[in-house]
Amino acid sequence: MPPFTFDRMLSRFKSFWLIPIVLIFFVSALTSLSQLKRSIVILDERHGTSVWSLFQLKTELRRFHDSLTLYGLDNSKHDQIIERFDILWSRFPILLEGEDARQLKKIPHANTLVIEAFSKIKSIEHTVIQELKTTPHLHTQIQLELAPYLRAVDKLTLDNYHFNNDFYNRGDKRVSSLQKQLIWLMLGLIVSGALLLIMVIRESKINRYQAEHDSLTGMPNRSYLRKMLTSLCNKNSPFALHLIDLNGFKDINDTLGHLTGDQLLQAVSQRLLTNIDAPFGCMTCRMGGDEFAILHYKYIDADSLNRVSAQIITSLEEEFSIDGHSCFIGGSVGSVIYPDHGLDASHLLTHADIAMYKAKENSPSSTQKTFDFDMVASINRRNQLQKDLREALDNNKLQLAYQPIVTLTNHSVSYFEALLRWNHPQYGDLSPLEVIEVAEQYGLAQQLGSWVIDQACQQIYLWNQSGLPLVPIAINISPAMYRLDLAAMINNTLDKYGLPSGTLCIEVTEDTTMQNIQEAKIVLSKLVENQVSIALDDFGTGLSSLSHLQQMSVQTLKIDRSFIFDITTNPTSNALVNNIIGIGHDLGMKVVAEGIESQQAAEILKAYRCDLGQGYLFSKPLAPEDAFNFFKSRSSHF
Amino acid sequence: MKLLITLFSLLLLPLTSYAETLPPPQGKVLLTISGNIANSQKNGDARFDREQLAKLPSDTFILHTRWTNKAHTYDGPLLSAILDHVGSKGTTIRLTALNDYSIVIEKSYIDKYQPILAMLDDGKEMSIRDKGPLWLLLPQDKYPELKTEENTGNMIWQLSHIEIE
Repeated sequence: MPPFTFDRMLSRFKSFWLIPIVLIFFVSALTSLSQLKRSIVILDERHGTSVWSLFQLKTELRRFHDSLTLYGLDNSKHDQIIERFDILWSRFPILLEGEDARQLKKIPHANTLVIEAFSKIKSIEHTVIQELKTTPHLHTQIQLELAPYLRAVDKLTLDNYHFNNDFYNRGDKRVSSLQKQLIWLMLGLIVSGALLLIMVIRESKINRYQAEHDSLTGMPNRSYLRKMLTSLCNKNSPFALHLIDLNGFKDINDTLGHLTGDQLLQAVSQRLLTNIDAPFGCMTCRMGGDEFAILHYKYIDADSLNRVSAQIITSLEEEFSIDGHSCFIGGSVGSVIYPDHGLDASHLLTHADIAMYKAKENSPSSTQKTFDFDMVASINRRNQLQKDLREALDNNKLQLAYQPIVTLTNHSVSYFEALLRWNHPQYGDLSPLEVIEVAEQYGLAQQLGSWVIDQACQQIYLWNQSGLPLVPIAINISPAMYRLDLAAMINNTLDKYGLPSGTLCIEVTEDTTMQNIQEAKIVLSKLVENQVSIALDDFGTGLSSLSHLQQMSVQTLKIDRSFIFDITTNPTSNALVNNIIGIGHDLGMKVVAEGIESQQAAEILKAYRCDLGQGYLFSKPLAPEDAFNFFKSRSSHF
Repeated sequence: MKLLITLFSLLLLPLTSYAETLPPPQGKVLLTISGNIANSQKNGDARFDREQLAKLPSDTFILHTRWTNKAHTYDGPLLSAILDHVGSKGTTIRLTALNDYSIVIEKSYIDKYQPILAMLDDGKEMSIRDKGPLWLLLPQDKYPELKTEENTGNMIWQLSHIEIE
């Protein structure tokens, strides 16, 4: 799978380079800092203060020497000699302690010389302060003693001056060499910083790419499509959008596993890229799950839209070969056109979704639907109905109508079929099919089912209370009810009204039963155990095979009205009905003919020994009171 | 007569209100101040001995100067207090040491940094041999900018004479 390998390569590249780059950056930064600090220290070093102090010492030595000469001429001012001596004295500690002493130590023997000179001064202290006062001629002796130090200090002063002068220059050289290094370090800093910056930019580009692309197929994702749609809407030129939901993908995912499912999705995206994007100049996106979108930039008219959508369906219906499995899927396509069906991304996507769901209604066959605003109305109607259905169930606003099923020989009522009626305040009488569809779609089927069971049982009970025998009622079961413990539910309700088992019958259609044949078998056999009679409704039109009849423990077979209505004129229908009745009887079932509208048809069916009949010839579905009266009128016992 | 008394009073007035005669030093003179000052002794200078200086408002600095290996505690009168004492009226101050080293600083500089004329080094009287008897010290510990060469050069020791200009 190429995207994973690419990702791994990228991350390996990143971790390989990131460490040295960051290392160079930090080493450069740290070294620069220390270099800078060293430069500052060099620049901050106080050079030459010892030069000043040594010059001062030299001067004071000279001055003292000179003052001694003066004293030799005029020995009245001994005080001045002492002051000069003290000042001279004060110059020594400065050179032997602190900063100047540290500097002076860099010159060989300098420190020793200063110490020796200081010792000499100390040694003549008594002579200067005491003896000189009374013996002025001693000054020559002192001068003689000082003479070598005068010369030595003079020399040291000059040496120190030159040394410090050179030192300044050396300092300059050091600073300039440090600065040369600094240039390289700065280069390192700048280059590694720039590399880091490039990596950050790259990374954020990758992140943006990942945020806008699907990781499985590498295609643009929903958020990218949204962005594209928004920018296209701003440009104001027409374009189309096709939303695709794969048909049958879930089954492949469930049966062959997710890995195969993922591979199939990759194959689908690849096929869409080749068959749609390249030739039609479109952009395919994966919206998530098994949903794709195709942005059709070059939309011109309905014709061009149809060409693209037809190609989409053809591409999806072709065989996919995944891991040696051959997979057949299809697609439901919902299309929208800008600006006809929406002016912004949100509306376009919502409307495409609606169109796609409309197309999905034809699943498993692949269909394309272009959005139209009536779809919104029907969606709205559905929405309204589901809200109202909840309320109607809670407030008992649904009704059951009862159509009698009569014995063909004497026209007495055998049982009633309960039919759902809902007079909606806004939409009027709704067909039971639509009500059940809404209930199934919005998870109300179980609630509706239990309401119907309760209502039917209550009716049997009420009629019985009013003097009728226990008249059985048959109710219709929707597919969702196979997921319930239907037998227990019916038994509980029968118990609630004190009714014996067998009074409530179940009618199932071939279609719903065959859809869930496994579940249906379990539920139905459990019902049979509980003596609930089962009738197979609309027989002959659905997907049943005759073997199912055998397996399904059905007691009653109801022949669909489509065979009955032309039984008098169409010999084929006539023959089929005759034979169905025969098969039913052979399997030990009772046979009901639905939709009997003429006496002639009733006669034929009677002749074929059909047991029961239902239809307008006898009665339309009736309100409970009318059904009560109908029963009474047809029963000679009352 | 009345006129004479008035004239005499007028002569006395500036002496009593603007100037006063400072008492003469009893001990060895450590500092002589001359120039533009209001208060002086007879010859127009103001001379101070140790005892007189010790009476003036003072301060203590703990400083590690570049001339010692460790920090020392220095005590001495504030230079601004001395200048006030002599009624200094000048803005430029010239300070001269026994070895004729001299510096010039502004009155504002003194007002800002409040230097002392240190007389005691770690509680010991400073002799000429120890940069005494007076050493102008700047509070380098409080103001780091005083650590520059220029300011350090202002720390004149063996101070003996102040001229107010």
